[in-house]
Order: sequence, then structure tokens, then C-alpha cells
Amino acid sequence: MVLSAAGVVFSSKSLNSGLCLVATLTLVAVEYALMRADFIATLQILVYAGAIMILVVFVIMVLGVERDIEKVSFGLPAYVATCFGIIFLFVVCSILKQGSSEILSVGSQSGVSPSDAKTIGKMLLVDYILAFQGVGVLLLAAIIAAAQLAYSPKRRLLPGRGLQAMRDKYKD
Amino acid sequence: MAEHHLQFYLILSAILFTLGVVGFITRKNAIVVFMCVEIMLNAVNLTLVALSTAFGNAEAQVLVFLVMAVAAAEAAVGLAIILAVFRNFYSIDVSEVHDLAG
Repeated sequence: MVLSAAGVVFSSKSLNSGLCLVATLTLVAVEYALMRADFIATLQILVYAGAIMILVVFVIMVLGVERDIEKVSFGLPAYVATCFGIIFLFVVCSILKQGSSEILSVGSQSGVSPSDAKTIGKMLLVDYILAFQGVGVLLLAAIIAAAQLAYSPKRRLLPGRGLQAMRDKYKD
Repeated sequence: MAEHHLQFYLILSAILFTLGVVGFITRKNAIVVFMCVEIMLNAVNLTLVALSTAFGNAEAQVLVFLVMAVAAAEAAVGLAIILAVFRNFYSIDVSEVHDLAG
């Protein structure tokens, strides 16, 4: 999973990144299934590895795979980012190592509660009904916004944006 | 769950989150930047599910469900924004799209 996530970050072609992300999301779903969180594992496959990745790969294809202009240049920002990333990871891991001894002593006593769809569904509809409906409204607003953003009526082309201009710009 | 499993999952999700942050800062392709955001969200989800199964509390999985729904909404809007930006600037390079006026 770490290898496929590194493939997402460090691939030079965007389509390779997309396929590595599909692999990462599927492996995360496998992890969920190993932890016996079946509902979340199924949701992960359906929502993330299914719907979102279809959208992402579609957008990658629409925006032109052959025009992958990016040479992944590992200049100064990349080195600074990597150093900060290593420091951040070190800090997080040391905090986890310190704190998880207490967490583990609590966790091993309380057993495993069933995390099937019935329990989670009941909790969603009884305890967290407001958040549930709020997320529904959010999804509706997001769909409307996405449809509006992607809508393109016929409009006049500005000078410098026509087909010949684009041909000249990308003639390499 | 054995004692070392929880630690393993938490460190794994920390590594995933760090990779997502490094990629988010470094890459110039807008779609790859978006994919690194998705990696970060998945790392957080992994933490939540690991702690939920360690404590035997299913409420964190409700939060995971809601986070996934919000991430799906964000994916739709973010990709629509990338398409709209591409239509106006003819570039998906985040270092080239820097003028708001006109």
C-alpha cells in the first residue's frame, strides 16, 4: 500500500498516478476487511475505488494524456517538502509509540463490537440523523455546483484562444 | 486484536498521510494534487477504522461514512473546477494558473 501510494506521488505520467491510486484505494479496502469492518470496506470499494476513480480517470483522459507537460523536477521545493515530511512522520510515530501503550491497555479490554451494516445504520439514523441529512444536502449542493461549473454554452473565442493558437502553442 | 496491530495500522496511516502531504506540496499537475488529497483522506479514514475496531466502538465508523460522502462531493466539485480552469487557461499546471483578474 505504501508502494502504490508512492507510485501516486512520484509517477511522471498522470495516468500511472491514477492507476496507482486505484490500487491504493483497493488495498485500503482490504485493510478494512482485515479489521472486520465489512460495511466500510464495501463502501470503500463502491464509493472510492468505484465512483471517484472513474471520475478521476475520465478527467485525466479528457484533459489529454499525451500532453503530460510535467517533468517531475525534484528541485528545491521537493527536497524541503521531503525533509518536512520525514520530520513530521518522525514526530507522529514517536507520539504514537508513546501514547499507544495506554490506548492498547484500554482497547484490549472492551472487546469487539459488531460493525455490521445494521449497527452502523441504526446509529446513523438515530444518533447522527442531523449529520446524515446535512451530508445529503451537501451532496445535493455539490452536484448542482459541479453541473454548473462544467456547463459550457457556445461562446465567442477570445483572440489567442482559437484552434490555430492552440496548435501553435502545443507544437512540440 | 493483538497488541501490535493497532500500532501498525496507525503508523501505516501516518506514512500514507505524509506521502499525501509531500505529493500535495510537490506536484504541479492539478489532478495528481487532487489524488494526493484523496490519499490523505484515506489515511485519516484508516486511522478512524483502526481505532474503532480497537476500542470496540462503532461510532467512528459512522464518521468514516460521513467523511467518505463528503469526499465524494469534494471529488465531483474539484474535478468540475479543474475542467473549468482548463477550459479558461488551457493548462492544468498549478504554477501557471496564477492570475485571478481576467
